[in-house]
Amino acid sequence: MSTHRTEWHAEDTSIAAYLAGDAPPVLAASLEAHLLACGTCRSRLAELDARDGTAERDRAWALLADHVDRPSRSPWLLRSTVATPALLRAALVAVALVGLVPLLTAATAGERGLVALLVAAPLAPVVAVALAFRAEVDPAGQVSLATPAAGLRLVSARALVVAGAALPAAYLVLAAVDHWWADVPVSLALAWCLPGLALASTVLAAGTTRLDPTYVAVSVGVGWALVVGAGVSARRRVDPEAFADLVAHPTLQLVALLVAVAAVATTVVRRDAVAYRRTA
Amino acid sequence: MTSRPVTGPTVPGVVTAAPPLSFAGVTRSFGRSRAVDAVSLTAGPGVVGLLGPNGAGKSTLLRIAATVLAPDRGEVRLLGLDPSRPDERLEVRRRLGYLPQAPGLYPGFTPFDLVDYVAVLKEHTHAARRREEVRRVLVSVGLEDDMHRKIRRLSGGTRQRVALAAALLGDPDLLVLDEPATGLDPEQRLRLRSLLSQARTVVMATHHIAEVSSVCHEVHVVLGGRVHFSGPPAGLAALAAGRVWEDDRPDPRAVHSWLTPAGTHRHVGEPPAGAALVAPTLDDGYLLLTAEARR
Repeated sequence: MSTHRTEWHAEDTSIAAYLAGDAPPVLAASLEAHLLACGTCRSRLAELDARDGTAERDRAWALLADHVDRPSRSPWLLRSTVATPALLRAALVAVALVGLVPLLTAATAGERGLVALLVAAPLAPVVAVALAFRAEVDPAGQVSLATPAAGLRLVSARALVVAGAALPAAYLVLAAVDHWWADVPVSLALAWCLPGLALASTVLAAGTTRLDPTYVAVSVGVGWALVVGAGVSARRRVDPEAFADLVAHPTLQLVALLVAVAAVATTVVRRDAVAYRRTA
Repeated sequence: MTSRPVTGPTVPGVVTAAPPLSFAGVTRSFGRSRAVDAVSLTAGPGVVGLLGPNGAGKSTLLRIAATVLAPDRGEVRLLGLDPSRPDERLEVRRRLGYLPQAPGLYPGFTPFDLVDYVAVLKEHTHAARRREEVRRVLVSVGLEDDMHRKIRRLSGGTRQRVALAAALLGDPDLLVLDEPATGLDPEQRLRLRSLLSQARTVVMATHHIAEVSSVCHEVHVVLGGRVHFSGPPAGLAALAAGRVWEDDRPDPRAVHSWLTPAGTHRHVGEPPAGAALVAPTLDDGYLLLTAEARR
């Protein structure tokens, strides 16, 4: 067939268009029929492909590789936090501690259990901050510590993401209790904010020292339970109203505000210690 | 291997560049134990080996060199910059690659996603260029076929190469590598050597003497938190000059002695009169140094 003689040869422009995939179907079909018969045009096709085709092929490969190698689209902040199951698991544990355990106690122990739930809620952000300091929660582990992004920015971003997930969950549990179980004083939801902030920012500030934030978080949690326990027992009443009275008390709120301001200020002043320090 | 000057080239009238790494009286304790004890050394450019037994303080020195850990006392200069100053530390971190001893990579990521994440932390903000760079480093450590598999499905040596790829991002001026050859097979070790020889300054911890003799321009022997030797590898071998001999029988007076494959007993220590002295190797120098440090 290739020996078949023909007077007509395909134009270079047609062959180039065919190679680039731009030839209209009719032209492409007739060109293919002709190429089968014409050795001259076949070798011309090979020449043109070798000359112009590589750039085109490279571009196509680059596009393909770009598509295949595309990392997941989630923003890097989320990838550095929620995308890490270690952290997500820990956040779920925190939510469970804050919500489920006292909820179960409430189911079995009535109002006392409800008080336990109310006591535990402000500890959610504490857990969040303590977790944020742990190097294990970073997908790249220790590698991240030597990067320009390491430091308070990364830590507080993580803390915010976990607290942002844990707090609404805690409030949902509370709303559920209020709806199906027992009345929860509404004032409490607001009264929580300052103590929660104070406890969490204390842990954040502790992260700028040599203390292990995890131990500080535990101490802060125990301290909070002692304060509340003492306050409630001094009132000789263990019910949600007594607890709400205690937490919403101006003295406690003022102290919480002062602690929060002092802790945040300490953290900002000593922020460099987070970026250039590791206890272990 | 021939040694090359420890400091940069000295040209009259030209300010000599600061050594890539310099420690002066650097001390770091953990609780009561002093991991690094008043270490002063300058290192680089080229491949610098920190040689020493486990627990000698190599990793602590490297973590200080990687700006991950601040020293309790002492002056640190990395690439001529002071990491205790926030702005200079940021600059160092932009030009630094770090491979920790236990990287702790999250196993649910693929190597590509993981190195891409590190690239984000390293301020590679342009998405297309970042992807290209991530591909480049992964290919350079030989992970072209594994870059889209989950890390948990990869072997230990392959994971090590993922962390190495992350350290190579952005072609850093200073590479700090803690036991980079861990888990690598002989072929991968060879590849690592050629990677290291292309880097500007590499500071690496190792307890393999063979690694030091094959890639390092200079070596620092770390024992008990202190530096006991600094110099070219040949200098470490030269420490044992005239103190290595071979005999048919074991010699109880030797500091160390062992049976060689040739069937003779090789001894390191103070040779008896008339002993058949042999040329020392790096191992001999290192063994003598550790034995003397212990005394």
